Amino acid sequence: MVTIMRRVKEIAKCIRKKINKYINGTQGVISLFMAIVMLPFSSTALLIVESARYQSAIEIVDEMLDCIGFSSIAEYDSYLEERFNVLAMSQELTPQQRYEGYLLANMPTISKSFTYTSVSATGRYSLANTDVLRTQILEYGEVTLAAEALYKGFDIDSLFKKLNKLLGIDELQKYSDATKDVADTVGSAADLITAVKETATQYTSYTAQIDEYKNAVNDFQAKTSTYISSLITAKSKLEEGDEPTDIYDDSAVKTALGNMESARNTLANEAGEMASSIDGMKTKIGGLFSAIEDITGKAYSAKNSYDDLSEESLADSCSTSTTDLVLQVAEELGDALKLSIDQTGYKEQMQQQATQLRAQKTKVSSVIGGENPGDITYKYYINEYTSTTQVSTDFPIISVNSIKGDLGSSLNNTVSKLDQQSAVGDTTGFTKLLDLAAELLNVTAFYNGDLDSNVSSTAFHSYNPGSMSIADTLIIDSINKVLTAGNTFIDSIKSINIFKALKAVATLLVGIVEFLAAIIAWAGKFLVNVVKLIASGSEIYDHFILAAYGAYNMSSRTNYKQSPYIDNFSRQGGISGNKISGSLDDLKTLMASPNGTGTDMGFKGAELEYLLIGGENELLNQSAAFFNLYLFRMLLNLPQIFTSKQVTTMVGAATVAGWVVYLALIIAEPMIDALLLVNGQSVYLIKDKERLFLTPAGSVVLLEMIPQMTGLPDSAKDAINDSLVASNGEAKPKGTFKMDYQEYMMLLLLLATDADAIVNRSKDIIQMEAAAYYKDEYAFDLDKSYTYIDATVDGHLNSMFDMDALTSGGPFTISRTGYVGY
Amino acid sequence: MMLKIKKNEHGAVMLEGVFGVFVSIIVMAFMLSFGFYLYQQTMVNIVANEIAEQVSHTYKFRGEVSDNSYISSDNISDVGRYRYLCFSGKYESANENKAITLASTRLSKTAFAKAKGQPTVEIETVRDDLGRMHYEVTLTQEYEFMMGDILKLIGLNGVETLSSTVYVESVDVSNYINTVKMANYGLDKLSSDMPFLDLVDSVIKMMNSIYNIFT
Repeated sequence: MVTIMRRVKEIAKCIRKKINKYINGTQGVISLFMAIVMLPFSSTALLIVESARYQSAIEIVDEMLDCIGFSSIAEYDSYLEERFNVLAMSQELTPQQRYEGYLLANMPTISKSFTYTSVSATGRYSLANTDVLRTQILEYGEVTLAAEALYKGFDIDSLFKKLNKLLGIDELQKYSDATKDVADTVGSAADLITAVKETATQYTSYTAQIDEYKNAVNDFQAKTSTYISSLITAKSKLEEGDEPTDIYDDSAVKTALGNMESARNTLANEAGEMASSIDGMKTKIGGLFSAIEDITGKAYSAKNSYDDLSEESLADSCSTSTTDLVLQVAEELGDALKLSIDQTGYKEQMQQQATQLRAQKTKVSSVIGGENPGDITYKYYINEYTSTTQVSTDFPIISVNSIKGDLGSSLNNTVSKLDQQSAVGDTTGFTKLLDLAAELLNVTAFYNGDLDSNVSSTAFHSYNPGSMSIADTLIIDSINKVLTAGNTFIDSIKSINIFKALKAVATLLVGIVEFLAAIIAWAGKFLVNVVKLIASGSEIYDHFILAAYGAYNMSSRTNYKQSPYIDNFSRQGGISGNKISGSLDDLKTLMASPNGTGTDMGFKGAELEYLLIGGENELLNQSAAFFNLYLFRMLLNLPQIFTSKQVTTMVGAATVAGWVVYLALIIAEPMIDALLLVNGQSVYLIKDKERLFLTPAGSVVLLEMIPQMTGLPDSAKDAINDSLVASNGEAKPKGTFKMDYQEYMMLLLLLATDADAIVNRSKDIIQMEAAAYYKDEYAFDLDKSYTYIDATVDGHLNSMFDMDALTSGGPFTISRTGYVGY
Repeated sequence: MMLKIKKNEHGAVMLEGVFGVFVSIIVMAFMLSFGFYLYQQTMVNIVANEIAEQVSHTYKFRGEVSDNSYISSDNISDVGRYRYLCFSGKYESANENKAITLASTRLSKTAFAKAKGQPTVEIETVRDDLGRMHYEVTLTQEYEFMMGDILKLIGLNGVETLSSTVYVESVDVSNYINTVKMANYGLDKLSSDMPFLDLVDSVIKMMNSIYNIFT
């Protein structure tokens, strides 16, 4: 313990010695004090400075990374931008290579403050992303395409309101229903004519039966009288001892009895037949009266069913002429019947006659002769007759005189008279119109034969053939049916056979009803977007921009020669198999051909048609697009044709054949529209109803256009020329929204194609064209056409005092992630 | 006795120290408070810059995209149209709301003063040229500073409203390119519809060529 204390004292002494040696009293105490006080202050200040530097470094890094990001995306694919108006990074370098290159170039500018430890840059959202491509298209189109539409004179809202009004399916349904009423009436009229013919035939057998009956009565009376006379004679010859019954052994009596019994049987049979014939005749006549009454009611009802439609419309005119014919038929037949029949009492009279005849049959059947058989309670024992006159009293000829005159001749004469009245002398005009319709349906202008690619599935980006089925849009069958019915009808009115004519017009009208139903179904399926427009404007407006993008950016059969991009394609082969000739039937056949057989790497020009149809066969795409265009024009023309006074005038002289004109116009007018459009000309979306091409006023315009329809064969041109009835003077086309092929395709894309389908098919077109364009440089892949770059840079602040052990990876690390894109 | 006391220097250092430390503390308190003030002003400026950058990046996105650290496919498909035309006011207010959220988060993490209320952000789109524009972003936040009363010495208040206005160029690439295309389209249409414009253009080119010869 003592040792320890001594040791402590020595150390304390040593410390005192050193303090005394180095510290001279209070000297330096302030410095020491200041040092102690300043250390935390200066440390805090330095910390704040470092923090500020850190914030500043973050700012600088952010700025730098922004610059790098924008520099990276600035190297865009100029071909895609120029050709398709979309922005994507060039595929010459990967996003990582490009971004890192710019980072290295920029690092010297901030290397005093910041050091990066890692960098990763990834391309995001390529144009293969449907949402991204759609956004780019919409951004491009929001001004330019809207301006283009405005420049072309489209007031979108106005356009759709007009379309909605014009394409009112309800209104079309009314025409269909009204036509069906007329068809039903005409069908019943044809049945009436059949009944008339059967009645005339029945009347012939009826009159023959009357004769037979009368002969049978007379014969019976005569044979019975002879028998009675023979009995009287035989009785007078009896001798004493003879039995009274011996008279029956007399040969004359035997013969007379046999004859009487035979006549009796015949009369019984003929009386029954006569009664049946009267019943049949009564039924036929009653049926005729009822049918005439029924058809008259139906005809008036059918006429009234057009009351809701516009007055003086073609349909009204046609239906009126048809129902007038039916009424005339009914009236003439009614009059013919009334000349021979007392309509009020014939039923009772004929019923009474039939009853009397049946009673006579019973009575005659009960007549017996010969030896008294014993029980004859219910028999007429003719041996008891004492005179022949009693026979004619008991078995008279029952009068059958309800039908006056010769009803059969009267009916047949009436039908012949109707034949003459209904016959149309000159059917050349109708025939020509129908021939024109048939001719136009078989032209080879449905496609441009030079554009015949059959694209390989590998050339598409998102190969999805048949995504839009066009089979159900084809109304070929109903068109053919009405054409056939039209021709049959013309044959009928040529051959002066009203029965045949009525049957033909009924078939024609049924065909038209089916045709209208098919059009309504087509319209209902493809024009729903018109209704959508009214319901929600914004979506349909986006759809409109997408459709306009397709129409104004993609080449089509009408403008592919002006496109500088199409030459980029290097294709192999052509369409496999035989080319289609162009008829609608061939189109159906082609549609049934299998997909996936193509070898071409792109379309030769019909890109817009691909957007609309989505098939790999360029010919089929063109044809189906043409057919859709044709149906669209047909739909737009229908209301105009229905209400055109010009057309009504045209069919004025046609009487019942008005339907043929109407039918031919429905089929031929839109075909001419479509042919003009594919030949680079414009057709008003909504035509002036008094300027339809096949009317006298509109034909002047058409005649000037025909020579320019290069895809049309001479035979079709001649058919058009032959069918035109041109008016004198000039007629300028009139209408609303004059549109060319591209613009009609735009409307079809809008109305008939899903918006996603437009974007997806645009991807295919971009892939095909860009792959062809870059084929000598690299393999273009739409999946790598990035629109955003996602970069992450990690690093740290370079501290003011470089003390790696303290600061490297310490609190002043920087990690920045950012998306930069177009 | 008093003389003795007066001549005695014991405690003089302490006494001087008291005054010195008092003054030093006052000065340091002032410097601290003023430093916080300057720091906060800088932070407001920095955050305003950050907001401006993000506004520049995300202006066209209508969804909940407050910065560009992640942009989804949905965000891209939701890009609004006519954002600088008929719907510009709607976009400015939508971006102001996004910016306020960003500013609140950012300022709360770096504050050396007590924030009073929510920050406000005003964004204005200023057109510079065809398709070119910049955004004017003004961030404002009221702060209460520690020992703020001492700032009255230099005419400041303990509660100050700090504001920073920064300008950032629009990086809406697609809008710029499409606007230029629209202009080209319009000029093409004009020149095709008005042939005399071609003549004017030719004259200007000729004059330009002549001018180049002599310069």
